[in-house]
Amino acid sequence: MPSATFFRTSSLPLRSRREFLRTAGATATIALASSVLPRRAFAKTQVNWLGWQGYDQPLQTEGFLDSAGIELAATYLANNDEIVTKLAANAPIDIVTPYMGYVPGLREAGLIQSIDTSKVPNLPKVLPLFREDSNLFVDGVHWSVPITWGGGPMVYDPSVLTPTSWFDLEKPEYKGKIAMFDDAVGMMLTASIMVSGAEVASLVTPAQLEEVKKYCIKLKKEHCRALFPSYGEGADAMVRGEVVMTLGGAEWLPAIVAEKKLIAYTYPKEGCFAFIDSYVIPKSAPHPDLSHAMANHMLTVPAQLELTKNNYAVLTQEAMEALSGPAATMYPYKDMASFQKLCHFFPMAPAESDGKVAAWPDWLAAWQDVLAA
Amino acid sequence: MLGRRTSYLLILPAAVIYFGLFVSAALYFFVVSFWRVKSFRAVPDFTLQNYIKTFTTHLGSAETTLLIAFAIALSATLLGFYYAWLIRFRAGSWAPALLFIAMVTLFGGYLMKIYAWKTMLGGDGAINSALTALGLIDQPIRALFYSPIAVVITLTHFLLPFAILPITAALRGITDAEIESARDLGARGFEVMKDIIVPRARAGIMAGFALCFLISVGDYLTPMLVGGTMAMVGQLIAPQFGTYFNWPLGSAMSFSILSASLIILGIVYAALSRVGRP
Repeated sequence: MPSATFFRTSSLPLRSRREFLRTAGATATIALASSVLPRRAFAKTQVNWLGWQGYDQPLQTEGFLDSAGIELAATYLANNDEIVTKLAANAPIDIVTPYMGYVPGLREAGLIQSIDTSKVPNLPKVLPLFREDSNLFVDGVHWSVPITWGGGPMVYDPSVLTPTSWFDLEKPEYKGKIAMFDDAVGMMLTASIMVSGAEVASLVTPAQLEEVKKYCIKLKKEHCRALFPSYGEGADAMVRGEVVMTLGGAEWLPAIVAEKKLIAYTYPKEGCFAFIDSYVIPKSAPHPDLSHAMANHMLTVPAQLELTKNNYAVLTQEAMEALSGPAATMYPYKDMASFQKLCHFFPMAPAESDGKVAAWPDWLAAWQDVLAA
Repeated sequence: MLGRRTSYLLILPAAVIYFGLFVSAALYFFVVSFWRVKSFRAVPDFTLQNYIKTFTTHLGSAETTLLIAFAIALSATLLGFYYAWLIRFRAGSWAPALLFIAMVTLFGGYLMKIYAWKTMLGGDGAINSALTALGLIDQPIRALFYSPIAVVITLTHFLLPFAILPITAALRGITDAEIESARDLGARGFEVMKDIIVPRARAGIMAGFALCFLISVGDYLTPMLVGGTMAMVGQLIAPQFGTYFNWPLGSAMSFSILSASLIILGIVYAALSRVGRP
């Protein structure tokens, strides 16, 4: 840092008057230069960042942005599809943070570049479960830098029941006490795990998708109390005793209502979908070196711990060991083997259908039908 | 007196804003409603598929929406009319205070009202708790919340000032002499209401009803937060312009529900016009 260098120079012991004058002269020159040309000499580079709110916050830790000379221009996502649209339009973006299921499509469309691992020395610290996920790591090449993860567990009221299966949702005694969410991916993927019979729940035939849709409609009409606009609303309803278990959810929900009521989450035996969110560098990124530097910084312990302030999970071993308080138990860090066994990182459905596998727009249309039913 | 030309010039800025920001945007979306979507992008075309999809898939939601919006507009207008009638004919020197109270509720905030009703109508809410405490019910009435009833109650409360204000303005135009004349000619209370007050306040009643109806039709937040599993059409239109990137379908749904709403308003206006006719 310039200021640190200056301070160190001026603190050296002075041996003679001439040396003092030389040092003073140099000091004056540096001071003049820094006062007259501060912007030119230390101008920051604007880096365009497009991602989920909260995923930029860790970049503020340890003075990283200042030391890297980055002026961050963050734009927050409303949905993952915005990434596709903007990258296809060649927007000058340095970092995007898609759901891992989108990465294969972005790679195949030539919209992103591979990660230069020599510029991300922290990458090996990421648990292999996340680092080597098949969506992100293909033929020995990394296409993104994972930053956080999570699953879609069932959240329930332990004072009422201890569910083990998604099909507990259908038990007659809980009729009208089930929560669903306005989350196409979460609801439809979970229902697909339950009823589609597909090997990969996100890659289903149109007929299987129809079954998934019908099942969601059945759950909504016959068992559901409300279809909540957010997970937080669902947790609030559980606190108020309106619902006792959920189709899908998030590991952090029990923590946010812990002061009001004890609720819990579980990964039902049929399995859950899971996600990894990552830093991805677009092919046309104007500053790829800075993009790599940001991705690398996200894996430092302070940056990872910063993520937990917004209830996100950490994914390096050293960050997991540094966790304390509620954040340490919010996710199943102590039993990642069970998580790995029950939760799956499904790829996205294809953008366009070949007639055999239902496309992503088909999933969205099916979810619309569920909402309208 | 201003000349006709001067009048046009004075209207011009408002007209430019109206056409620039509303009419042109509406025309654009009307054109887009005939386009199609390919890979999350709207592609120019001339297809009726979006309208066909609207009528085949979303007809049920549209019917529910119109029915609920009608119930909300009707209750808000009736309550608003009664409140405005109190202000004009009964409150005397308290009239400004009553009007002020009605206007103040507008500053309460939309979301705050929704959450307020959430605490009132829920299973552990004030109403159910009170009824249980009084021994009138054993179990909370679950139909009060996460239901169409909750949507009607919440939106009626929110929209009440939108009905009160135009009706109050209309009732103020009725002079005491008109009422007294009717009474002198033998009209009783109901006849005065039917033959004098309602016809003279027709424009205000219609404006209040239309405001409440159209706002309810387009609302998607209230049903999302208190409506349970029901879906009003606004909930289905909004994501078309965001999550699904299907502007053509969103536009077709919007124009379909707008057309249906205008037809209903036309019917209501025709019915209201018959009141007080010999």
